[in-house]
Amino acid sequence: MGVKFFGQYLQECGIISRDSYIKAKEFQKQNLRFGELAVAMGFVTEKQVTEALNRQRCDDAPIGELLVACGALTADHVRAVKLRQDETTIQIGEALVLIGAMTVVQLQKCLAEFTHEQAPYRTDHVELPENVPNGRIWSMAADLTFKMVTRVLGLTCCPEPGFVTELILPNDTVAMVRFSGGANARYLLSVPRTVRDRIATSLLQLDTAEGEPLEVLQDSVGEFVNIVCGNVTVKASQLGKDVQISPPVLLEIPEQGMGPQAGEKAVSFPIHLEDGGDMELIICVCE
Amino acid sequence: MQTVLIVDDSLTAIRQLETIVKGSGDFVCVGAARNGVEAIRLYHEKHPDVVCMDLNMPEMDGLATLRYLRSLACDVRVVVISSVGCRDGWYLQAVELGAARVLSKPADAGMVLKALRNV
Repeated sequence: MGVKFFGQYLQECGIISRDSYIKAKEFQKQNLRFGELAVAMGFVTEKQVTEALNRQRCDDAPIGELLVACGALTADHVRAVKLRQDETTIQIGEALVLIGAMTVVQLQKCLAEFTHEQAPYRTDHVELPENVPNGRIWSMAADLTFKMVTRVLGLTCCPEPGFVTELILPNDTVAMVRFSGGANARYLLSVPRTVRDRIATSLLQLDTAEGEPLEVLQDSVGEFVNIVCGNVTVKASQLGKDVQISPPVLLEIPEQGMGPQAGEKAVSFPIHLEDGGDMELIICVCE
Repeated sequence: MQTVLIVDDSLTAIRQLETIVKGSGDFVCVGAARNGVEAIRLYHEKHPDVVCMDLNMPEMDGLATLRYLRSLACDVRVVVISSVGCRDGWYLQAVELGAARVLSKPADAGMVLKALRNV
């Protein structure tokens, strides 16, 4: 279960060996990224690409768009580079065929099965308030959270659209993970006691949370957050963003609540559960 | 009966893996560590056959722990079970450091047992 990429899937199924995977990754090193290809094709300089990459840390946009926006590339150039990339980029499956680790027929069959398996994790678009940095990543994070509440915890949920909030209220358990690198934010999941217990019984496959130590019950919320956020980093890397996460921690929110930290914009997504319980996802995005 | 050391900062993940190992019939859990530092201490104490390792941990993460185990030139088999394990960079590093299998969280019991038995 969970988001995964194709090479991992092939290893898990025993289709390819670890050595074949490493050889195929070596083979793929000849693939050029958009910026490198644009330089190789003589459209831009390395300096222009470096500047665009630096801007990309704040602006959630593909590198081609940023190079067009600063006048370094035209739309025609972008099309030409993308076409050359499509023609020359070797995907992991192709690399494995080229090194003889699998056949074309095997590849096609495995791709179809992989696509089917990953379909539940394909992200739909979640609307975010305007002007949230790296909106694409956080929209994806919210969507993945909702999906994993259903897929991992077995809880039917109905999330509300996200809205900017100045107040984070206390709750029984608030678990937090910090994102850093290509996109910076604190991810908080706030749950009442009943939902905390539901999470624990789901993850630990218990009939009841009664008698379980508080530490274990609260830890299960942290572990769920860890699972979701780990999967977010995978999807973010598929979107071209290299982000890291901290291990989860539990937050103590004062009785009167607390605001986002300086330099953050907090977006709240209330999540209603079918049985009447509520939880809240809050993503405090660094501006 | 083969011995397993579980390394994960999450009590929940430890409980999940202990339950899976206990129900396997051919593996027994000899200890659980909450970070890489504890894992190394327990490794030297218990000499497990297999280590189930998380990656994203405080104090000493899974990749650093894996690197240390490899430096010992020991033949302990490591199965990585992590929410970040399936990121391309982490995955490749784990595999290059000799992880026999890398599973994504949440990993179901069947996948874990298959990994333990086939490493």
